[in-house]
Amino acid sequence: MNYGKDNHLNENQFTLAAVDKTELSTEARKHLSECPQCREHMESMERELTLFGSMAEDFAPQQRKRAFRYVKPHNAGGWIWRFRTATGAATMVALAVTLIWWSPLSRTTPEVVTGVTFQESDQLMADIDTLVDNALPPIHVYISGESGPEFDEEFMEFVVPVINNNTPTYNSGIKGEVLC
Amino acid sequence: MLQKNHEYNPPPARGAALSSQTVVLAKEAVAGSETAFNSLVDLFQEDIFRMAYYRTLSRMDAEDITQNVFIKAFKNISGLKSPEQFKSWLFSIALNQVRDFYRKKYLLTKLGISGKGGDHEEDYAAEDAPDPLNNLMRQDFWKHVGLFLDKLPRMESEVFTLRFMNHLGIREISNILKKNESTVKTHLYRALGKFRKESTMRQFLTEEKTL
Repeated sequence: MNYGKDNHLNENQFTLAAVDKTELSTEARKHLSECPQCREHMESMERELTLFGSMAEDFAPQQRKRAFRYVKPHNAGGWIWRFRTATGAATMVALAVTLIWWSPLSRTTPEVVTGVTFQESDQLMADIDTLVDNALPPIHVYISGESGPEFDEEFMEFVVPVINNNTPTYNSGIKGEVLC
Repeated sequence: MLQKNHEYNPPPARGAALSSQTVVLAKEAVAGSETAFNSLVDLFQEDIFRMAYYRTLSRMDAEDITQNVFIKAFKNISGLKSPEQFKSWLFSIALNQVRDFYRKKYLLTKLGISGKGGDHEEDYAAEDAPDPLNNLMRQDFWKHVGLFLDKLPRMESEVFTLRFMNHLGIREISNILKKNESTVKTHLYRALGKFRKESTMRQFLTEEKTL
């Protein structure tokens, strides 16, 4: 193809040049280097692609969490250090066990039974018996009169007489009832 | 033992110096130098993070993928036969991690136990986009990119992203994808042709250029 003044590169050739200039024919490459119009077009295309790439970079967010790096594990030392560490740990454990074993908190002492304890128990039992007999508090007992000496059985019989079969009842005079 | 890196040194500028530095460090890392490996992490973690972000559009997912990439790289660095191809090797690990990520996501979605995902707008924190206009442009940009890349076949999309968003060369892409260079160029040529015809995307870029 002859690339004269009016015979410029077509769009496909520009695209090919954007991919890789060496893919163009020698003539096309020569024309591109000599023709200011084609060069301008090519540069504009390249600028557009560069702008696209830089916009993608600019519009990507910033990385917040950085990638992980390798950190060599700290070598604690040789077998002597490890032996010391193990011995120390064992000693600490033994000490802790001994302290727990001999601690006053961990040991239970038997309760000392004294005469006072028995007395307290008897008193408590007496109180319970009293409550069983009469659960009312003393003031209520007084009000109810149950504790009065004058309210004996005779008095109660007077208040609430015993019903006798021979005594006339409210049924007296009803047909069939026998009067005494 | 792997620990979090709190001190971060930004990677030096791209170029031949970086490439030769990478090769030296990769050789040392292959020989067993942890310091060299840590330097490589510093050099490439931003690139790997961006690579993962372009494919997931989620900061947290991209961070997790980046972490997994370097853990995997550390475990397998002794088996790297060509330290000269460290960058390609690292990107191929990253690409596999992204595939694994999508595989897991697909399975979780199928099982109905997938959490909230796919919506990347939550990742934009106030410190990333203090300017509401900038935030709007960012969202618009990723929407256009997503729409364009979705239209492309997988290989074209992959090649286009690696070339123009991750700034990798044709040879590096061919090493990553394990395709020969002419195949990569063909896919790139097709993808670029479609990009040139993508009027909305190009209009967006033109507007951005004028701002």
